[in-house]
Amino acid sequence: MPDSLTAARVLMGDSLGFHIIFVLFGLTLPILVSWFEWMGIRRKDEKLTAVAKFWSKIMAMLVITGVISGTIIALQMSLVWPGILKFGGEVIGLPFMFETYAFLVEAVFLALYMFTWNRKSVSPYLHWFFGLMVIIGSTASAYAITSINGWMNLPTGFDIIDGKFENIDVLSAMFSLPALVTFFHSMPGYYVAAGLFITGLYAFRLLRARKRDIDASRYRLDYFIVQRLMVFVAICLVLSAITADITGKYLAQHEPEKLAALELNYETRTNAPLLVGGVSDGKGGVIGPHFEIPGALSLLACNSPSCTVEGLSETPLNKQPPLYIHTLFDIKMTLITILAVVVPLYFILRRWQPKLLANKLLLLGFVCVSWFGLAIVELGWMMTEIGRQPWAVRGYLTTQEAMTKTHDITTFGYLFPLGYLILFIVTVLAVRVMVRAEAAKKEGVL
Amino acid sequence: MVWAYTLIYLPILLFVVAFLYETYLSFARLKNPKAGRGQYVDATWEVTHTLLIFGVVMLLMLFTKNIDDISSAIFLPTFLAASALVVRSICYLFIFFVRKKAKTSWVDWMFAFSHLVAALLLVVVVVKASWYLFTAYPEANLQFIPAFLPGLFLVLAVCAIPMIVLYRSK
Repeated sequence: MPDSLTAARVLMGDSLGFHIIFVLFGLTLPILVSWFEWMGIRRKDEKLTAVAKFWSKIMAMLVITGVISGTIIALQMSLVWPGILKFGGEVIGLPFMFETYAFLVEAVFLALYMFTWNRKSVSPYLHWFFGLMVIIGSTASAYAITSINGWMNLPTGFDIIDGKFENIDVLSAMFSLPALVTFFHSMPGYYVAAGLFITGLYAFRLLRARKRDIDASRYRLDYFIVQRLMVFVAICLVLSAITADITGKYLAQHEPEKLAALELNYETRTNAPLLVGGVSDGKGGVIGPHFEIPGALSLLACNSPSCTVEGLSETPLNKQPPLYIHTLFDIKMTLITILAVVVPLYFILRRWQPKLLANKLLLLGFVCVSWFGLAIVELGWMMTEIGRQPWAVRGYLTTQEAMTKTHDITTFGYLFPLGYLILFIVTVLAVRVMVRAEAAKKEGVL
Repeated sequence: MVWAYTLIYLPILLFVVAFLYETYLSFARLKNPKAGRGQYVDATWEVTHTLLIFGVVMLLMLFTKNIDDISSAIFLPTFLAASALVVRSICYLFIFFVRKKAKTSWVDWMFAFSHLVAALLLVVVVVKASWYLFTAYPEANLQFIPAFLPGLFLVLAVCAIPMIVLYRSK
């Protein structure tokens, strides 16, 4: 029978893993919807406005699912892990509050946005402005939550003198370096993931279209949407790559044990290599198929092969993160590498061989990689969270200490994931019904 | 301290009103399932949930020093209420988005009763938390009040007109 700590971790991990999918759509869809609505208004193109309206219906429905998992996470933070708030509530309370304010703005304006579609009393520009408020609310909410996570990774904004908090600076905690680094790295990642997935759905439609129908107006619209979404994805992918480099340098300087675990770098050394493949043998070695790129880790950590990168040996054994995060990192990097080929390839083909874009085999390939972004986001957060272990608040409070001492979480730890699974299935079915209903409409955009 | 309690009880009071209205609608629609989403709140769903989160977060952030005692007092009813809210979400999506036949079934009854169960459990949560607050007199993080309170009124001012428009439409 698993112990209570494992059950609590399972519950938190499942909740976050489930919730993040809806978060990334909840953050990206408002941008895409506003963008297409704006294009519709400026070009006086009702089709583009209809696309925005259709996406907004799906967005509102996904928020329903996201809100309930978000509610459960908010409850868990205080009920399952009260130690975190007991320890740092005085410092980190502000972003928690800010998050609820931002979320209220998002929720109210989302409701208003949906309610005022095609209302004569609301001008198109005012309606578009409501959408803008949704973007502001959701992005501010994401920042607040990310800043709490950043603070857990690198607690700042206080001094501990004689066992008591002194010199508390809540703004410094809220706008800390890890908060900014994580936020600006995760946001483009969310945009890539959701943008690519939606593009994949349109590619799937084109894949299923009969050859003689491919020039029909509804498929021309699909091609237009794919083109625009791919531009969005490409820009975000570049931003994500730039912020990934900054994140690597941040880890080398401020969370060296996490970087060492990600790269299975046991010794502190210059000219540290980047390890690809392999797993830890548990004795300071690497087993399984792998190869090293000499000096690459030093280069990534501080732009110079001669730079010293801290190894795992500097961290006591009982304070080291689980080393299987190296495998998660390898999987993530493999998926990113594939995307780094696929996305430019699309633009090359579009420029020089546009007819090939209708090739069934290429479309099938694209559909197959379209969910990679979702997997990358999940893996990224797993690395961040598991890589902080055994700490809940790094350097101050372990996960074991942060957990509730008064209640056994085991039952709920396995009950809620079942609820999430059913909720996920119903959500997918609901999206399917909406898509089919739109496709069946004569004036629909599918 | 009065402001601390205002920050907690104002959003909870708003939530209770909105949620009771949703509970009433969930039972009222059992008589006329063909009316679809028109018989139930639609776009306001997220707002209601947010008010709950708002109240709970206020409670916990203001009393972080005593969070062990508070979370211990409200642990079970809160988790059970959260379970009921998950059931409600599943039923909501199934009834209004997935199901094609407009006919009252056990899912509609489960939807209605999930409201009732969640509402009752949340009342228990509020009573237990209030009992603790008014008997143990825990020390509040009053340093947050100057930031939280203007924030609350600002956000309510921004959201008030949209909220009134939305709820009046039902």
